[in-house]
Amino acid sequence: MAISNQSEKAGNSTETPEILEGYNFAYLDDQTKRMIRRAILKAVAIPGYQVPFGSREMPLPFGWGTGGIQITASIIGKDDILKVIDQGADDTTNAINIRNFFGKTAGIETTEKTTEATVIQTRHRIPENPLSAKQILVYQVPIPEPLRWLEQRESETRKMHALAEYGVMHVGLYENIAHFGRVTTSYNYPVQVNDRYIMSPSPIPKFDNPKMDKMPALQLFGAGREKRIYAVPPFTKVKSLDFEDHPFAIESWEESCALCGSSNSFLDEVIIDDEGSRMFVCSDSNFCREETEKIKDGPVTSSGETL
Amino acid sequence: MKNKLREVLSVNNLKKSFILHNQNSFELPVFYNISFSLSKGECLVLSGSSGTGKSTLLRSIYGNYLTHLGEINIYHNQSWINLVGAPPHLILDVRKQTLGYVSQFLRVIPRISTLDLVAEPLLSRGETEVNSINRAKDILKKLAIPENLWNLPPATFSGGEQQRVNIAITFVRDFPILLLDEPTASLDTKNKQAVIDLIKNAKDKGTAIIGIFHDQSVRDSVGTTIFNIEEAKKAA
Amino acid sequence: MTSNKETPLLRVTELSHYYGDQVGCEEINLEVYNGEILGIVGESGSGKTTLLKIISGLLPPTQGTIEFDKRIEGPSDIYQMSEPERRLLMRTDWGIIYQNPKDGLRMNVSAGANVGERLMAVGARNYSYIRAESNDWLNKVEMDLGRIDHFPKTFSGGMLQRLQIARNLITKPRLVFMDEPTSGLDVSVQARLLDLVRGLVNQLGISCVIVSHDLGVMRLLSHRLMVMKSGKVVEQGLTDQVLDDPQAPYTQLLVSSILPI
Repeated sequence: MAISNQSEKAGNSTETPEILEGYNFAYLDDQTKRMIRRAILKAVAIPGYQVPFGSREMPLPFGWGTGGIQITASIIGKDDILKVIDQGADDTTNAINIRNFFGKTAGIETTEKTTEATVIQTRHRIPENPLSAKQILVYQVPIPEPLRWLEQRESETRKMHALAEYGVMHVGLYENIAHFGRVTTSYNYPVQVNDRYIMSPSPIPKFDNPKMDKMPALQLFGAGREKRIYAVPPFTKVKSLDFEDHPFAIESWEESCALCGSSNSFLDEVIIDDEGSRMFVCSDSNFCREETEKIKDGPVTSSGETL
Repeated sequence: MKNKLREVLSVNNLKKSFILHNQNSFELPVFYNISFSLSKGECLVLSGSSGTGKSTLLRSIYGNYLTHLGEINIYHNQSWINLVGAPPHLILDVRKQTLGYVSQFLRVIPRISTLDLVAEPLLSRGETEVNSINRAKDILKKLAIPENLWNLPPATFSGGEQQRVNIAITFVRDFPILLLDEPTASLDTKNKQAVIDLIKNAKDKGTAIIGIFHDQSVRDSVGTTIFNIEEAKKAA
Repeated sequence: MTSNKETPLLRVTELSHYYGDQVGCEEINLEVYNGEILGIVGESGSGKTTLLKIISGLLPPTQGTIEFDKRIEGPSDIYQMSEPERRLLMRTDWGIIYQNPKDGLRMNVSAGANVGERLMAVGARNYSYIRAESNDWLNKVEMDLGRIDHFPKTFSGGMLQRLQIARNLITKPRLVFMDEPTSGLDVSVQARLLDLVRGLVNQLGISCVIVSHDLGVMRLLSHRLMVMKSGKVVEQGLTDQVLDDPQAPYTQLLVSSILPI
């Protein structure tokens, strides 16, 4: 993480790499894209339902975001502006590589600015800036099945989804409270979509769960290794599971961000020296930079795009 | 003659034999053409030398032995039913409400306290716990089971004590009809008297009893009618 | 519990099941009434486990009907109703106690969660309530309350069976199936478990179908007994009658083979 660079690097779009010849637009062939789009349409039609799809070999290993990449490749067009984040940051290896991948194979514009992007591929975070109806959020998902830890048989989990037999999900929450006095699940916190399907939100912190509820942007989830696509259509109800007497709650911090001073964003704890000194900074690097600029430049930036 | 209105049990032409399949299907006849009737407050004493089928008759009436020929009519739940060929769940219902049986031996789940064993039939009939326990204590007291034994399972009790526990389990409920198979066999005089009192008391309340008593003194003090199986067989 | 006309809770009619050419069980007819314990005995391979699987909703039979007297609809064939309906029945009105507790419990979650799961499955969403109920049931099956948060892998065989019983009875089922519930336990534990089962069945008015090869267990626990051999019922009747005055040649042989204690 290059925290010290965040405030200096205020560029709009990242530098576009050279376009590679000989590849179809956005790498995937059109047959595959059609197949994936059909899966996406089905997923949108049945919010939270996991649609199987023929996941392809990608030029990076499963587990590195192949599900998200295949969705992005299938929905992205020449005019789209792509943003890729990994744990909230635009400048980590995985994020940069995926951004470069689409830069090289599709020649599309990329950005670090949340508000500017039309497609945002993410691993483990939802950006702090609220998303609009013109945007699509693509999640990379490692394990799409929320029932898996209690039921190993795929045939059985499918049946449980089909019959909405979800009582067992609360067993997990019960265990948390019984052993620790509260629900300690802090990421990948299960949700119920549109009062029907229980869904894994991918390993985002539960801090981000409320953002999924009634989000104006379309949310697509891709699991490459597990060959599943699911979706939350815009403005759809997403409820985090809880008990009446132990309602769902997000985490909060005593500290504010050491860089931008934000007190309502998701913070990472960073060790800064060998003595074990630490600081808390925003995990959303773009948000943090914009907040820092606001302090420098006054309430509204020249681009007028901060909220 | 007997008052038909007070009749609670009538046995007609009852036959019992055992077929021993493992001994070339040898048929062992026990009795046939047995007929008698029993009224409220009556105590019918089965007599006959041993091996004539007194116990078998009691067990047949209770449904413990299966009979095919004849009738065992019993007044149960305000109507007469024939126990020969009756479905098992009906016989269970009769045993729960109408017909009590004191066998010669105590047979219970191990490791349950005596008090609980005696209270259980009441509990399973839906009586409250307090009520059941109190009535259980009451009957154990009447039968002179020492109070310090109540919380022990009866497995280690003496033969006489076990027999009295067995009697208590049946007598704690007020069955309209009782079958008693040598209830006083292993009791000393004092305890015998306690059981006799219990039987007399039940009789006075209208309970109809069929009993096997080898002890002449018991017979004399509780019996109202004698039924001799051997003579019945000869007559048939 | 009074008249002849009472509807049985479970009625099995002309049930047969074949594994290819092999007979699983054949031409079975049985009835279980409210508050009744039906025992099924027979040697290994006699078809008793197959029968239990079929009538507990786990294995559709080749032919025959299994009717359960539902609370509202009355007698309904369990394999004619929809799968969601059957599964709902299985986790509310029915209970299944497995011979091997690992089949009936979640070994990776605490005792309390195991007991509370059925409540959550039928919609309980209040933690305190679920916990209180779990506690209550652990108490009823005579388990040490200090162990509510312990994992089943730390429990003894007898405790695991108790846990299974609590887990099944928490929704107050009307019919409980038990497959050799006491085998594999040492005799002293067995006796206490039998007492527990009998007490609970009496208190709650539950009906039970128990499969076992142990005639001693059956005499103490079951009201009625069914003897099976080579997939067929050779004899059924009152437990004490079947054991004291067996009619079928096989039952006579079986009863006479019991070693006296």
